[in-house]
Amino acid sequence: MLYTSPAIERAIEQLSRLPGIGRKSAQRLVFYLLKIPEEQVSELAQSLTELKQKVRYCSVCFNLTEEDPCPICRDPARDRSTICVVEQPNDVLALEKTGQYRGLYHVLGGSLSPLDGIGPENLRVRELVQRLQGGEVREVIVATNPNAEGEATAIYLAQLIKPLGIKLSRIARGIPVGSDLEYADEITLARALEGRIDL
Amino acid sequence: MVIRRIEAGNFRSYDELVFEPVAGLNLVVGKNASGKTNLLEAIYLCAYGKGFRGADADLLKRGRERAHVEANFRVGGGVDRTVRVELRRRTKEIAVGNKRLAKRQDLVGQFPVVLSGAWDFDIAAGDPKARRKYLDGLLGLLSPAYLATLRDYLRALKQRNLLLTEMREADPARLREKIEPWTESLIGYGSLLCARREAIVGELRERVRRYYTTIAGADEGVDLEYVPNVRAVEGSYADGLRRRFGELFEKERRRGLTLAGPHLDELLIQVGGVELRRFGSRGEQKTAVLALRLAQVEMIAEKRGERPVLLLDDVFSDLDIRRAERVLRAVGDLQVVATSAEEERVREVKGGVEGIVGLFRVEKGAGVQEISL
Ligand SMILES: Nc1ncnc2c1ncn2[C@@H]1O[C@H](COP(=O)(O)OP(=O)(O)OP(=O)(O)O)[C@@H](O)[C@H]1O
Ligand SMILES: [Mg+2]
Ligand SMILES: [Zn+2]
Repeated sequence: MLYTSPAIERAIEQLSRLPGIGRKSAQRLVFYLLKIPEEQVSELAQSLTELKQKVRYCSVCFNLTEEDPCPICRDPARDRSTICVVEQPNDVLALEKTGQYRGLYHVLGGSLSPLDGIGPENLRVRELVQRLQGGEVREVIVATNPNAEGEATAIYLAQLIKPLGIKLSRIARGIPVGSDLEYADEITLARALEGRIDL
Repeated sequence: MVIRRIEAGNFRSYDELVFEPVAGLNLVVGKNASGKTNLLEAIYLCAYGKGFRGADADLLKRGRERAHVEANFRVGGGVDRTVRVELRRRTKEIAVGNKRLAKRQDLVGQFPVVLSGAWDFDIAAGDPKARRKYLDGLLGLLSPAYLATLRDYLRALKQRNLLLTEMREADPARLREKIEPWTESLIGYGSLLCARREAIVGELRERVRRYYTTIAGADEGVDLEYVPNVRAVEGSYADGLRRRFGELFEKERRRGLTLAGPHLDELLIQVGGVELRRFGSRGEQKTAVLALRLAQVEMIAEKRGERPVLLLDDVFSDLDIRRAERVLRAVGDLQVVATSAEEERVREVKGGVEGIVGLFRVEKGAGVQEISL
C-alpha cells in the first residue's frame, strides 16, 4: 500500500525495520506520531540521535556507557579482583538490580552459536583474556544464559581461563530452567550469586 | 484430574461441540468420519496447547476465520480450572483462567492428559524414534527440567553437526578445538538424559508387565530394556559418552555428523523373549501399546499426585472380545474417553464394566449426544 505522502511512507519504512515491528504496527505508530504535539516528536527524534552520539561501549568491560571507562569500571568501591562474565548489557542491568554483586563485569556481546555464524572471534573473548593477564583478577564468575549456547560458551571460557590459575565459577542454576537471565527475577539471581559453583 | 466439560466452536468438523463426560469411563461411538478423533483432539488441545495432527491452522473448521476450545478441569483437591484456546488463521492464544500464557510450553504438564491411538503402533512396530518419543513424553510430563535438558541437548547437537559439516575440509586439530565445547555440552546434557531414561525404564518394567498381563489374560513375559546408544562406563554415562566421542572423532569428521549419543537410544520391547517390533502380532502390539500408556498414566499419577485423563482412540480395534473387555477393566476408575466406530461391539463389551460409565454418540453435523446404555 502506498501513501500519497512520501514522508509517511519513509517513516513507516524506517519503523518497520525495527525488531518486533511489522508494517501494520509501523503504520499505527506513524499515525500516532502525526497526532501528538510537534515538540514531543522532536524530543523523540533528538533522543534517538543523542543515543547514537553519546552511547558507546566501555573500552574495559564492553558494557554500554556514556563515559569511557564506564561508571562501574571507575567506581573505586568495587572489588577489582572479581569479574562476572555476561552475554549482554541487559544482563549487567539484571545483576546490578540484585545489589548483591560488588565486582566488575565483562560483556561478551553474545554467545557461541555456529548456527548464527558466531565463534569466539566474534565475541569479546580476546579482550577478556587480556584483562585476566593483568594479574589483578583472582576470580571469574561465568553468568552466561542457561541455554545450550550459554552453556557451551561457559565451557569454552573455562578451558581458556583454567590454565591462568584463576578461580572460576559458573552462576548456579537458581534460575528457572529455560528462562534467560534478563527475565530472571531479582531474588533468584541474588541467590544464584551466593550459591555459585566451581567449574 | 477430571474433565468436567469441553466446549468448542468451529473446531475441525464441528460447528459447535459440547461434551460433558462422566468422571469414569466414557465410551464414544460414531460412524467413520463422524468426528470422534476430533473430539479427542479438542481435549488434547486444552492440555498440550496444540493438536496431534497437522498444523494449528488445520484445527479451524474449513472456511472459518476463528475457533475456540474451552475445557473445564477439576484438579486435585476439587479446584476448578478453565483452559481456553482461541485460534485464528495465523495466531493462537492460550489462557488458564484469566491468565494468558506467554508460550505453549507453560501449559504442558499442568493438566495431565495421556493419549493413545492408531499412530501408537509406531511405538510397537516402528523405528526407535517413536519409542524415544514415548519415553521423552513420559519424562516430560514428570519434569519440565527434563524437557529443557532435551531441548538444550538437541540444540547443541545441531550446533555440533553444523561445525562437523562445515569444517570437513578443515585441519582436524582446529575442528576438534571448535567442536570441543559442543561435545562437552552433549556429554553434560546427554548423561542426564541417559540416567533419567534408564531409571524410568526400570520403574516402567513391572507396571507394563502387569497391565499387559491384565489385558492379555495371561503373563506372556513382556519385558522392557533401555538400550542406550552409548553405554555407561563404571556407572557413569558422562564417562561413556566422553570415551565414545574420543573413539569416533575421525569417523565423525569424515561423515560430517555426530554419530553417538542419546538421540540414537532404543527402548527394546520383548514379548515372550522375542522382539515385539519384528515378531509381534497386531493384537500383541496393540496390547503392548495400551500397557505402555496405562503404565505411563500410573507413573504420572504416583509422581505428581494427580491422575491423568486417558484418551483412547479406536480403543477396541485389533483386539478380540476378551481383550477388549479386559482393557476396560484395566483402566480401573480413571477418567477415560474411549472411542470406537463399532457401537454393537461397544454395547457388547461394556456389559462387564463396573463403576461409572457414560455412552455418547457422535454424528456428523449434530455434535455429541449422551445416549442410554
Ligand atoms: N479443519 C477441518 N474442517 C472441516 N472438517 C474437518 C477438518 N478437519 C477434519 N475434518 C473432517 O472431520 C472428519 C474426520 O473426523 P474424525 O477424524 O474425528 O473422524 P472419526 O469419527 O474419528 O472417524 P474414524 O472412525 O474413521 O476414525 C473428516 O470428514 C474430515 O474431513
Ligand atoms: Mg478416528
Ligand atoms: Zn566498564
